[in-house]
Amino acid sequence: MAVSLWQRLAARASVPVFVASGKDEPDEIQDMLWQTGRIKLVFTPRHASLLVVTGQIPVEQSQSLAIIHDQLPHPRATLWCGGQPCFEFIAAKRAPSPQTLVASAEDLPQRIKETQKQLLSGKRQSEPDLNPDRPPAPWQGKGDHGQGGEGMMGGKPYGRPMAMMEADLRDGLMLDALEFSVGPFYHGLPAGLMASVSLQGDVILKWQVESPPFPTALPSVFVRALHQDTPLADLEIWRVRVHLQRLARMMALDGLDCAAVRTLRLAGPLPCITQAGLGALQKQVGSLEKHLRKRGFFALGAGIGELDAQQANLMGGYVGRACGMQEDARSTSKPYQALGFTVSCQDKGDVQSRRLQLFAEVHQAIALAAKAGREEVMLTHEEIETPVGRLTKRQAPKDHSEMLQSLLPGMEWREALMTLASLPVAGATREGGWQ
Amino acid sequence: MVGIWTDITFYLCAAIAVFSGWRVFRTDSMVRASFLLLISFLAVGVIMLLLAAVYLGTALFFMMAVEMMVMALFMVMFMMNPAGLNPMNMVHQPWVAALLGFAVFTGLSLVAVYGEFPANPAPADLDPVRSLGRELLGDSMLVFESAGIALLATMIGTVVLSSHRGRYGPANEGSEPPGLDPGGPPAKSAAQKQQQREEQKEQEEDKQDHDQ
Amino acid sequence: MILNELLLPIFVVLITLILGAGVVDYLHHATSALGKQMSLRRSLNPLAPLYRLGLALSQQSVITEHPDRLNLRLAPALYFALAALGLAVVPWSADFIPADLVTGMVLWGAVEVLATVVIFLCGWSANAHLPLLGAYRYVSLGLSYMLVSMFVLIGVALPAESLQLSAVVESQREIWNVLRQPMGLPLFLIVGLGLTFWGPLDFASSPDLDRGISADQSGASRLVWQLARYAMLVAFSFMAATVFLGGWLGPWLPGPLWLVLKATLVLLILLWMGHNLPVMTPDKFISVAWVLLLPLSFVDLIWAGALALW
Repeated sequence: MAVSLWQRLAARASVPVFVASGKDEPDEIQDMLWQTGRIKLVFTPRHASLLVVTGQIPVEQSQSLAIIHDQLPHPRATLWCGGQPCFEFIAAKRAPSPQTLVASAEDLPQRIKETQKQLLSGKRQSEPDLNPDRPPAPWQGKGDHGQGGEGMMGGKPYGRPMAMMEADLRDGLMLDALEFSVGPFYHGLPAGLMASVSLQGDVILKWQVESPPFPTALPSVFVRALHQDTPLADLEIWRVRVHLQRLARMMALDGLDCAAVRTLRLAGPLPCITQAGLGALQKQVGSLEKHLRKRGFFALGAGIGELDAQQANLMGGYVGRACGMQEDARSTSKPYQALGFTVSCQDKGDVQSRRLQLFAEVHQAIALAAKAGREEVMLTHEEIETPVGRLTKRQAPKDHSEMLQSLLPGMEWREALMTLASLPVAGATREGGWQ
Repeated sequence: MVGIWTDITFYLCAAIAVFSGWRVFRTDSMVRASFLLLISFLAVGVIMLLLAAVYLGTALFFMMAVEMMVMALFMVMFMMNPAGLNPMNMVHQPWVAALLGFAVFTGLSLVAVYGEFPANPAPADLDPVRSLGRELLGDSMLVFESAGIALLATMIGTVVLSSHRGRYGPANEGSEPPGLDPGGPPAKSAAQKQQQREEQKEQEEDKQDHDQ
Repeated sequence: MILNELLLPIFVVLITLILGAGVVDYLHHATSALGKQMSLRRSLNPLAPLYRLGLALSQQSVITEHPDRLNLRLAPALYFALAALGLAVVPWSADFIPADLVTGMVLWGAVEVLATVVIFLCGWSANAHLPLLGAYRYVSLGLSYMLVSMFVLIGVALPAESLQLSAVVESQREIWNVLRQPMGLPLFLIVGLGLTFWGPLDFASSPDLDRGISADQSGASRLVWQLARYAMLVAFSFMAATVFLGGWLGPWLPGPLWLVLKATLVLLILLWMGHNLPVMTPDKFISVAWVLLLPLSFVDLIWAGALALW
């Protein structure tokens, strides 16, 4: 096949990539790709030319992944990083496509660019569909006008029932509801979270969790501090990183791509923030916060996703503190007390106060890290305050996706996603599994 | 030269208006029907431009666009899934409609053919936009302005009523309509009435079962 | 005669829109890359829009299940046609006006409203959830800024005592409308953001809906939609430059050049807003639109009326 002019030009464009995150996969890889030049992370598989699967995809979700795979326009390819390919289950009978396993995350950007070049120059075949291309429910037209039923409506012409009216939660007006399911790779939700949703316009009527999000891997430094002496500065630096990454995701959801990438830059790639750089980081985070405040990033979250005391208590961690609870495992530990640690709080439990709380904790953690680094403070404690909640020897931060079923209905879609992004919904595992 | 082009444009637009008007009744989707109607109106708007009604013709474009858009919006609201893409029957009582349509058509045609129209040619230097403006803001100003302000107030009122703050207090806290008598129990919504009826029915059935 | 009166205007409008769309694409990505502090050489590469064009054309254009094919194909073309219609009434100099309509302002109002219809059609005809939600949300919010647009444009027509755009430009010979009616341009820019669903008012293709109406487009079909959207941004910039920044008026340089410069300025402001302001939540936007923007546009109109009488 001759390579057309377009393909030659296309080979020099940024590579659009859709990332599907699997189990035990900290979002490091996604964050790294985000900052890499000539690679563009896209929100929907339709806009991508490469599918990058990070971490291991459980067998139950491989069918969903296959659907995502088939949504990519040709020419397309899949790269597997940090997990085994799982398409054999589906496409056993079809011609096997070349499988690209990427051993380490550092190689990934390079491999992505190479694969795209091969695809466009025709050296690599585009991957065929895994599922047969036919409508999930075939046409069953009947009735005078093919409407699929008697009278004006009814029946299931395309396997989708005509919706029936449901009362609006807000003012009781009877309108149609739209039912569909999202996840497990929807970019606005935590990886692995699958839910069936009933929407009326923008308002969520029902949010049923089909499968909980994949547990996120807790940085090993927090687990180590349970058992042995660990530099306190390391703990706090990791807190800065995880919080900044969470904030970056919120910014991306608000369409603030530039600020999001700048935030990720601050969080830095692994062997990340150094002791010497803490002073500069403090200043940069301060100016970032000012930049965002002026542009309404915080004010946007006002009054959205308010948690009541019980829910905030259940979540704990920074969510509880954003709700005004003075609870922090750090306040019970001697080394922290010696450093002059005080619990900082916000008073409302909405998205705005969670955003403010995250920034306040980042500032505090940088100051603590700098001080602890100078004095070389070590820490062992049976209760560790991780960035996603409290960790003890017996218990890791728990999964909170059940709470969404009562929290989200009544919210508009956008507000619901903003709320979701501001909460640590997924439970935690130690790197490489909890047990 | 210009005359021929005007004629061609007129016949083209007239054909489009009639054709899309006919398709409104033959299509199988509400959204398509409302936008076909829009096309029909747009073609009429162009004909009005040809008739030197410059302002009215252009205003017709955006008025009809808003109207049809709002109509389609309500349809999606009431038929979110699958938003009118599932085919459905779009006509009611087609025979009555056909008879009425034929009667109106005959009446209008008779007026057009046999009616005597006044021969009152407009002066060549007439500026239609300016004269329309003089009419609207001259003698008829009070009427038009009060109608305009009333409409705007209605729009703002509707938005206030339907906003998050809700009809009877914050909307997301579950709203209750006011009582029928002052201080009386809240009036029931249709959904609640339905629920109550079903509960009564169940109770009666239970009773019957019990009696048997 | 036909060449000068018919073909030249059409040619100028189309070339402006297509070249303009390329410039928008370039500026959009370049400013975004600069904001992300990417490498300078790559982010300022003037050939980058061509690379993206190549990528879009070498990708498959996926069709969703049972779409309304006619409208799916037609929507981008219509959106582009509306941009062309809007640009056609903009005067380039005292004697070159592609379509000097007496009711140019009203026509622009019609373009804004018809754009809503077309954007809705684009999302609706895909027969998929996310595009439908984007389209639905866009329309239900679009009507809120449409009123603001009307009042602002009436305010501009008052000093000109005409709905004709050449008269509006002529009325700015002494002082530009941006100074005469200080609230006009900011309000009109908000309308522009809504019209092109850009930046803070990107309700139709917002990130929380996985890009909404564009969520199921790929390859060439996404390209034409993108092209039409950029073209609309260009048309809007020209319109804003004409009604508020004095259009082609200006010393030393030829008129058309002034117009292009001013339009580029408006464009840059819009792009800056797109990169720096968060997408509003629908609920907050409704409040802002009706409680803040609409009264402000009244004040603007009263101000303009008082000045015109005085």
